[in-house]
Amino acid sequence: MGGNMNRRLPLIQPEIRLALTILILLLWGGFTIYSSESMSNAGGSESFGWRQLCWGGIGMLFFLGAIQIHFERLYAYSWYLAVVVLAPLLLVWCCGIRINGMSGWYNLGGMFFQPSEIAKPFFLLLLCRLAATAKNAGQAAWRLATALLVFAAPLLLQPDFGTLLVYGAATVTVFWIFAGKLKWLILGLLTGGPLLLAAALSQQYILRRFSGYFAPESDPFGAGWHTLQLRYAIAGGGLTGSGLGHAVWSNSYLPYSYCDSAFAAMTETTGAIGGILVIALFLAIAVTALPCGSRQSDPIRRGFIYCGSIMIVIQAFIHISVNVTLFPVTGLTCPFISYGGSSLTGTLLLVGMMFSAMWHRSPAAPKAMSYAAVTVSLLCRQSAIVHSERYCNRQPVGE
Amino acid sequence: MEINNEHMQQRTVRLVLILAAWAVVIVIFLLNYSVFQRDRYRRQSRKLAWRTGTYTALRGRIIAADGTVLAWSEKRYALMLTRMIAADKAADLVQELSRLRPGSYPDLTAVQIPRVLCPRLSPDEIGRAAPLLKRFPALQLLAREERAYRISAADCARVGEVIWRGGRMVGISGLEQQYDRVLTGRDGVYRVMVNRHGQWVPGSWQAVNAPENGRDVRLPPPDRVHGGQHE
Repeated sequence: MGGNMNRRLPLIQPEIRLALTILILLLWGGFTIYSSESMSNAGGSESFGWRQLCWGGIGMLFFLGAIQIHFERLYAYSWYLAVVVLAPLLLVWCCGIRINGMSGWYNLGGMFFQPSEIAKPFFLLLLCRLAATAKNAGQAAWRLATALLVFAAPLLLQPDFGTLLVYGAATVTVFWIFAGKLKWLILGLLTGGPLLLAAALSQQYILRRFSGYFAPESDPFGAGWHTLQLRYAIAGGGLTGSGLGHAVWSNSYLPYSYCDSAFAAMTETTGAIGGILVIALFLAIAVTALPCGSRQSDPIRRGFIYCGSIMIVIQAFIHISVNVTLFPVTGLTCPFISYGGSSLTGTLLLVGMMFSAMWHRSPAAPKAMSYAAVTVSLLCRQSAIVHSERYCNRQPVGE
Repeated sequence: MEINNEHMQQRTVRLVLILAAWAVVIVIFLLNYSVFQRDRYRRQSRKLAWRTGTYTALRGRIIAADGTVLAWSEKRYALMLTRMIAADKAADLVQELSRLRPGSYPDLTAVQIPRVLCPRLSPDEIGRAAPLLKRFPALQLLAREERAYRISAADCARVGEVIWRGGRMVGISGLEQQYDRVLTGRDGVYRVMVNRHGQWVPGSWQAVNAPENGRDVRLPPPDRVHGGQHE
């Protein structure tokens, strides 16, 4: 009886905790974007806040749509899905448009779309499949390295080193979680790391960013400009922040305060306390995904949930590290926080696929496990407990 | 490959621990700039972005013995081009200026900078010019004090005249020169944040010292020849 009670006792199921954490981050992101333009055009139909709201709606549709699809189907079609998302990634180099020195965008009637962001969840799913079906760690390493090379090539041509870093981190994460062989991991890092560094340093602007990172004050109006503005914005916020509508630095000097510098802009408004809270929320995603994954006996579902959450946190931490000038400047958005339609849609799609892996047991699973369950479970804890009991009867993928 | 769920979870826990360590390093950096080195970076940022300037005090009036105001100061606004602009933008700007105030405008790509484009703007014109300032950052609305007189030709020499010297009005003849010290006030000082383009950041303007306007001079009746009263 006691054991049964203990199983039922968690106040909120981990899936719901995960959904709540993401919801808080989404709202926090809207607040950040509003604050970063509060002195200029906040609230207008052309404002980033308004546009982010629209993208959030589109992203939610992707999220809910992904939940509706059974994970078995996603897994079965992972090869096709990877090819479908790879094609626009390859074509963007010749058919896309150039923004901020990067040819990584399509212009769809005034709406900009970045295929590398949408490709992330499908790339991760493919990696999980390749790792799970490999005969040994060595084969897994070669398969993952090949997949990374195929997806990295168009990113190098754009060039988009920030996103490439996330793809690389996802590959390392999947290999470590599925295979866990340190020898192959070190070999891969020793081979791929210098290659990536050489490719990056061949670009003049990357060299400038490195020089600006190591000695920003030696060239404050040139290479060190962005790094210094990030520090000034954080210093402006102090411990408790300057308050909503008073983030003057984010509204004037800080470059891309609504996307690539969103964390620094948010810190100026809410202070270091707000920044630490956001870091804790991201860490909570990885921590909460642990029990969510542990409920799955199927290794692919389990691995996908683990890797998906870790990938989100790694992207967030790279963004935050750049913003606190721990890393050199790179154009990478913060999941849920930064403005960016493709980024938000891609991340919500990944979260939707993770929830699909958590909730759908078999193709015959009832539709009650769909998005409606999120709402109901949030309102009624008892409902969540009923769902948790259903999880016990699930069947692993491929069995 | 044999995949053990327990091992998978253990490896994920290790990754989460690495992420937690990473988070700690981030927090240390965050606190370093927001608390420990805050003053240093605040000083640097102020130096970069904050500017101080003076706003002139209004010169006092010269009032005749019968109460007639003979000379007074007015704020006048003019639209000024402060930077060179590209040819396509220049054509657009001329079109907009013609709409604001019909007239002929020079080739803006060849004029000497700075150049007053529309002097003495009316309040209505100022309202209509405001959107242009955002669209053309090279434009600035310049506020300048001008001296106005209501005097007969015979009194011209007696009242005298002023010129601009060192950013302020100075009387160079007549009563304007005689009572210059009284009529001249003390300029105010303000500080304001400017953005990368040198434009003021809305909401950042602060008065450091308020200006003291010049005092009025009331002239004595014609039979009293020695000086006027200061108000």
